[in-house]
Amino acid sequence: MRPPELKNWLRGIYTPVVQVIPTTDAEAICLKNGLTFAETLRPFCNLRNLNVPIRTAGEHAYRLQDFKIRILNAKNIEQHAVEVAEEQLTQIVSQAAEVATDEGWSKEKQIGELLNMRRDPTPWFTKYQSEFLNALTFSDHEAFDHPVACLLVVPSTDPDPVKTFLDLYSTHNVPTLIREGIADPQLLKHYVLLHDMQSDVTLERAEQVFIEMKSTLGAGSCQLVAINSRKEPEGDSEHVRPDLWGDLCDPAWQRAAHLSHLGIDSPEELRMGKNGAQLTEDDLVTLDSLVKDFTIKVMLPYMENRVVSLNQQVTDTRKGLKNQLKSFWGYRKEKPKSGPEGQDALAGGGHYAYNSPESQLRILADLAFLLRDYELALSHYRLLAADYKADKAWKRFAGVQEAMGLTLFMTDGARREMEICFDSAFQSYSRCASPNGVGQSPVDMGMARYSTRSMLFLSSIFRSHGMFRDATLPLMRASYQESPLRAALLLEQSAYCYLHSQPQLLRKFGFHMVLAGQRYNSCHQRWHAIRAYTTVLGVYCSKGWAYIEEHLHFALGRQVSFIGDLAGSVQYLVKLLGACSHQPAALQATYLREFLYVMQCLSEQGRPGGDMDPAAAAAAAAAGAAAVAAALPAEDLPLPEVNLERIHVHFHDHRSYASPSAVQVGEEVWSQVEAPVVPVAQAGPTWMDGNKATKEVTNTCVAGEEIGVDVELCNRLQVQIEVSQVRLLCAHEGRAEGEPISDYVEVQEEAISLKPGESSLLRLRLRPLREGVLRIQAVQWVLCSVAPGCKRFRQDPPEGARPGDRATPPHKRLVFTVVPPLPRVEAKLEGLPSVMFEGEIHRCILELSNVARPALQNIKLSTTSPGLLCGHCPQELKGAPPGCLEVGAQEEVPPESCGSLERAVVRDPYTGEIVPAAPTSVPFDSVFVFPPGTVLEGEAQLRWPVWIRSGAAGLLALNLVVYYEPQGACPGPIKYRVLRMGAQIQVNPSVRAEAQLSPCRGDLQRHLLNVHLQSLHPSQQFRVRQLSCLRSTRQELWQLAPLSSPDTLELAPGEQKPTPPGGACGVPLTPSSQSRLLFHLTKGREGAAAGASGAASSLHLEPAGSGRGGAEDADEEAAAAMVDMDHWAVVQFLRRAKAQHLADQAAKQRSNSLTRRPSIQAAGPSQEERADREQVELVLVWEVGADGSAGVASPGGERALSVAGPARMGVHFMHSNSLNAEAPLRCVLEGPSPHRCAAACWEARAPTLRLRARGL
Amino acid sequence: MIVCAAVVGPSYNPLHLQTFALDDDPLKYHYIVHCALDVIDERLSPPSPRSRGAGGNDPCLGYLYSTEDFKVYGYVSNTHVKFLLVLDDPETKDVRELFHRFHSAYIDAVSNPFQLPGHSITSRSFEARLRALASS
Repeated sequence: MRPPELKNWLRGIYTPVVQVIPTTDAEAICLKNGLTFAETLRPFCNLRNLNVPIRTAGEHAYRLQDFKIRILNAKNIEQHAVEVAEEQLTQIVSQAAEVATDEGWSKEKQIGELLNMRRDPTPWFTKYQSEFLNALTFSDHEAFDHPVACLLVVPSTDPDPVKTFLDLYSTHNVPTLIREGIADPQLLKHYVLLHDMQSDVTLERAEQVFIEMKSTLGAGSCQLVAINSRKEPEGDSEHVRPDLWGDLCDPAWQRAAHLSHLGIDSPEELRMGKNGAQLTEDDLVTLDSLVKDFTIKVMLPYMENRVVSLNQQVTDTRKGLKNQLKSFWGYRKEKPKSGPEGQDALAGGGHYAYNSPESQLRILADLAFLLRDYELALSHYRLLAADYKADKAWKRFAGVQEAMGLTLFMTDGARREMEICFDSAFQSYSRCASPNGVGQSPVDMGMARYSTRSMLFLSSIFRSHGMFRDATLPLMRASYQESPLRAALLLEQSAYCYLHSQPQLLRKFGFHMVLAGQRYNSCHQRWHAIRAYTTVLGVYCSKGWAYIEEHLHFALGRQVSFIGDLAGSVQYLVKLLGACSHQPAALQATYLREFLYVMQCLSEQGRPGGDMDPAAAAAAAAAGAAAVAAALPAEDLPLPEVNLERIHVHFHDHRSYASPSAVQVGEEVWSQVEAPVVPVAQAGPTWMDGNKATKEVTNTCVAGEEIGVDVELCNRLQVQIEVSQVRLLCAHEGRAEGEPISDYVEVQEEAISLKPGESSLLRLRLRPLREGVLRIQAVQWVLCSVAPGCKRFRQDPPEGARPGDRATPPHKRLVFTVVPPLPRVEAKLEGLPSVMFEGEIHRCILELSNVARPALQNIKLSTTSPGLLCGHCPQELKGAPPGCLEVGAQEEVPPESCGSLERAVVRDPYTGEIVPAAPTSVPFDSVFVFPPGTVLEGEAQLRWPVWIRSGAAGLLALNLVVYYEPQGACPGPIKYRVLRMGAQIQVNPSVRAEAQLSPCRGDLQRHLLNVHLQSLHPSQQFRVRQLSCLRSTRQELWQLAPLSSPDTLELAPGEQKPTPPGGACGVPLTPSSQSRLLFHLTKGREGAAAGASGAASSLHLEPAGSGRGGAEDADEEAAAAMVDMDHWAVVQFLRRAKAQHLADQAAKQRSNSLTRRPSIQAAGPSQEERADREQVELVLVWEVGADGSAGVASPGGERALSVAGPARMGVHFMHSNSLNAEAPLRCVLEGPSPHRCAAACWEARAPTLRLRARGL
Repeated sequence: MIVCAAVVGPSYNPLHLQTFALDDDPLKYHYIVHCALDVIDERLSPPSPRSRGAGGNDPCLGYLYSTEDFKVYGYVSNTHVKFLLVLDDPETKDVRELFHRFHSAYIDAVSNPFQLPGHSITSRSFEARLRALASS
C-alpha cells in the first residue's frame, strides 16, 4: 500500500457515525426486504463526486470530493465485549485457514519461490486488521465514533407521526455512550417518514402527513421515503440485480440485539437472505438521494457549524496570551469531577464528561479530523495532549498521541515526530494494560489491543513508505504482550516484512515465521501453524542446521497428524528417524514412538472396530497396507540402515563347502587341491572374443539348493529396535504372469532385535525351486511390526567397471542361473580330534551323504595334506584304533571293493597334456579314487575310513576335496561338483626319537642300534611299544634283538621309576624325560626272529621288570599286539614320510651347494647318492593310555595337555645310514674276547682313516 | 555472561554450537545464531562505501542484533569462518578480546590432523576452552 492508498484507507475508517432510531412498524416495513433500515441505507453511504466546500476555522474553504458516513442502529453503537470481539476475530483466522489450504498455501516453498512471491501471502490479514480496528471503535476515550446525527424513522401508517417522532428520541433509544454522559446528547435530528407502497395507505395520504410534519418539525429536517414499490410477484423481474448489501449487513448477533430491542422476532425474510427483494430501481434512487441530501445538505453544514462554534469556545478559554499565562502558572479548572483518584484514574484515564473542556477539545479535534481539516485537528491534539499528561490520564493521553500520529501522517508531517507520537501512544497504552509494570502480568487484554492498534498503524505507515525493516519493530513490540493468536499474526507480518526488505533477510524471515508457527500452535490454529512451518522449510533444510530441521519436521509431523493427514505426517516424521543420531536417547525414543504410532493409525485407517469376518478383515488389512505404502514407500524407511558394501552371497555351484571354516580358505588353495581331479576347464573368453564379455555375468546355482545372503543391518539410534519379517525380494525371469512367486522361490524370513548402536550380520536364505534366471533385488523388513522397509541392492556393477567385469566377484553377484537339480554331497569327518600328538595316527570316518535326489558316481578325493590318507577299503572301519592296526586285524578284501591311490598329475590347461611335475607339487599320491562302480543314490550315505597322521607340532591344516559327478547325462553347465572340506588340528609335541647305528664289536653282521628317546610333552606319559625295522631298498631285512635287559633304561635324575599300569604294555616314557634303548641289528636270516613279517621285523617292547622282555619270550598274544607294518595306512604314511625325508635332504643339499666350493663337490660321490645307497629305516610305535589313568600325571599334577579318552598310538620314522655305506674299508680282527676292545677301536677309527685318504 | 558460542562455516553451515546456560534447549540458540547470519551476510556482502573506510578489514563485526533476552556479537576470520557469541547481560564487555581467544581456540582445534575441514568440530579440548572463555 502506497501512502495515498493508506490515507484513503484511513479516511474510510474514520467516518462520522449516524444513528438510526426506527419505530417497530417502520423496521417491519424494511424487514420485508430482509434488511433493517440502517442496512437498507448502507450501500449509499459512500459518497463520491461531491465537490462540497467546507470552511472550518481557517480563512479559506476547501472542497471535499468524497465522503463516507456510517449508519448504525442505536443498539450497535457500543463497544463489543472483549471476549465477543476476540471470538469474531478468531473466526476470521479459522476461516482463512480453510481458504489458505484450498489454495495450496501450505506447500513447501523453495527459497527462490519465496523471494519472487508476487501475490500477498496473507490475504486474510487485511480483513482481520479491519475487523480488529472495528472492534476497537466506540471507545470512551476517543470522539471519532460519537454519533453526530440521528435519523428518526416513522412509517406513514402511524396515526400521529409528529408525536411519535418526538417520543422516539428518548433515553431508552440512545446509545450507551450518550447515556453514560461520554458523548454529547445534543445530536442533529433528522426525521424520515417511511412509506410502504404495498400497504393500504396511499402515497397521497403519506404526502399529506409529510406536509403536516414539515410544518411542525421544520422543512429542512424532514424527508419522505417511499419503498417496497415492487408490484409483481417476486422472481418475475427481467434481470437479477446484484446483491448490493452482501458484506455490509450487520452480523447476525448485532441484528438480533437490535430487533429484540424493538420487540420484533427474527422474521422469515432475514433468514432467507433475499436482500432488497421488494425494492425497485426507483426505490434505490430514492434511498440514495435520501442519504446524499442528508449528508450534504444537513450533516456537513451541521458539522461545520459545530467545529466553528467549538473552536470559538476553545479560543476563548485556551488561546491568547491570557489563557496561556494561566496555564503556565498552573491554573486550571477544577479536576475532573467524577474522576476517582488512584488506580482507576490511571487505567481509565479518569472520567471526563462530554461537557468538560478536555472532552469538548477532543470532540472538536476529532470533528476536524473527520472533516479532514488535519491542521486544525493537530493543533488541538497538541493542546489536549498537554492537558491529559498533566492529569496523568494515560489512556486518553495515548489516544491523543495516536490521533496526532495519524494526523501527522495525513499531513505528511515530520516522520520522526510521528514515530515518537505512536511510540508514546504505545507506551501509555501498555502502561494502562499492565498496571504492575510493562511486561508483568496480568495484562488487560482490552487495553493491550489499543497498544497493538497504534503499532499496527505505525507499521502500516512504514510499510507504505517502503521501510520494511523499520516496520518489523512495531509489530514485534506489539506481539510481546498480545494474545497468542494476534502475536502469531503480527509475527507472521513482521516475517514477511523481512522478506520484502532490501536486502532480503531470509533467515530472519524464517526465524519469525517459526515463532509465528509456535504461537499458532499454542492457540490451536493448526492449519496456520503448518503453513508457517512449511513455508520456511526451504530456508532451513539441507543446509546443515540439523537441530532446526529436526524441530520443524517434528512439529510438522505432529500438527499434520492432528489434522488427520497421517500420510503427510509420516513424510515428515520419517525424516527425523534418519537424522537424529545426535539427540539423546529419550528424544530418539519419542521420535520413533510418534512415527510408529502414526504408521499404526495409518494401517488401521478405515478398519472398523469390533469383530469382522475374516474376508473383511483381510481386505481392511490390505487397504491399510496400501495406505502405508502410499504414504511411505518402503525404500524411504531409514531404519535400520543396510550396508550395501557388506553383502556376501553364499551359494553352491559346482563347488560347495562342508563347513564355514572351509570358506575362509582361499580359492587359490582350493584350486591347487582340486587341480588333479577336476577336468581341464575350458579357457574363458579372451579379449579377442570381443563383445561377448559384456554379457551379464551370473552365478550358477542348483534348483532346490539354498542361497544365503549376508546382509548387515545397522541401528544408528540409541534405542533398541525390533526388525521382523526380514526377507529377500527376488524376481524369477521364468515366471509366467499370475503365478505366485512362491512356486518358484522359497524365501525364509528372519527376525532380529538390534540393540542401540548395534550392527549385525544376518544370513537371509532363499531356495530357488525351478530353473531360470533368479534375481535377488532387495531386502525387505518390517520395523517394529508396523513400518515396512526395503532396500534395493545395486544391480549394476560399480562405477567405471564394465558389465561382466571381474569387478563384481561371485560373492557380490545377485543374479543366478538356476540349473536343474544335481546331486549334492555333504560330508563330515566323524571322530576328528581337535588335539593330536606329533606322529599320532588316527582313524576318522568320512561320512558322505547325498542330500539331493539324483545319484552320483565317480567319487574321488584329493588332498594336499600329507597327513591325510583315505582308507583302502571300508573294512578298515572294523575295530577301534589302535587295535585295528595290529597284526591280524585286517581281513582279506576283494580288490574290486578297494579304492586306489593315484599320483596327481598336472595337465596343461590348453592342451590337456600331462606336464612334468613341478618341484613344488605334492610329493605323494594325493588322489584317491573310490572303487569303480561306487554309486551314491539319492539321500544315501557312504562311510569310508580316513587316516590322519599328524606331522610336526603346531597347527595341522587338512584340506580335502571330494569330487563327484552326477550319474547319467547331465544337461546343465555343471558336469561335476566338488565338496571342499577343511579342518584344523592342534598338534602337540610327543616323542623325539633318534637312532644311531654303530658296528658291533664282535660280529660283522651285527650292528649296535642306539635309540635315543626324548619325551617332549610336559605332562603326558608315553609308552614305547614297538620298534620295527623295515625292509631296505635292497630287499634286505634286518633283524632286531634286544641287547640287554631292559634295565638299561636310564631315568632322568630324581625321578621315580614309573610302574606301568596293569595290562598296558610298552616301555613307559615319563614326561620331559630322556631314555635310551639299545638293540642288536643283524642282517639276513629271514624269518629267524619273532615278529618278522613281510615288510619289516618288529620287536615288542616290555617294561622293565615285567618278566616278559624280549622277542624271545613273545608268545602268540604278544605277536598279535604288534602293529602291522603291512597295514595300508602305515605303508602309505611310511612312504610319505620317506618321500618327505628325501625331499628334506634334497633341499638341504641344495642349500649347502650354494655355500660350498665346487672343487670339493666334485671330489666324491654326492650325499644324495650315498643316501640312496643304503639306509636303515626304523619305526618306533608309541602309545598313550586308554584313558586318564594311563596317562600319568606330571609331578605338578598338570593335566592340561594330557589326553584323556581312548588309547592313541603314534608312529615315528627314523632313518639311519647303514654302516655298509659309511665305511669303505673294514678290518676285522678275529680273536678271543679280551681283544674285542681293540677291534672296536679299529672300527671306530675307520671313518677317520677314510677322510684322511680322501684328503690326499 | 556468554550463554552460547557458535562457529559457522564459510557456506553458512554450523561447525560448532555450544551452550553454557544450564538445562537450556540448544534449539533456541540454533535459531538465534542462524538468524544472526543474515546480519553478517549483510555486513560482508557488497563493499558498501561505509565499510570501505577505516576498519573495513576489521574481523570483529561487533554487535549484530538483539532478541528479547540476548545480544549477538560476531567475528569473521579471513577464511570466512564466522564466530558468534550470544550474551545475556546488557552491559557490553570487550568482545574483541573474547573473539580473539575464541579464534585462537578454533585454530588449535582445526589444526588437528584428524579434523576434517568443513565438518563439525567435536573436540573435547575445544569445548573445554570455550567453557573457560564463557566462565571468564
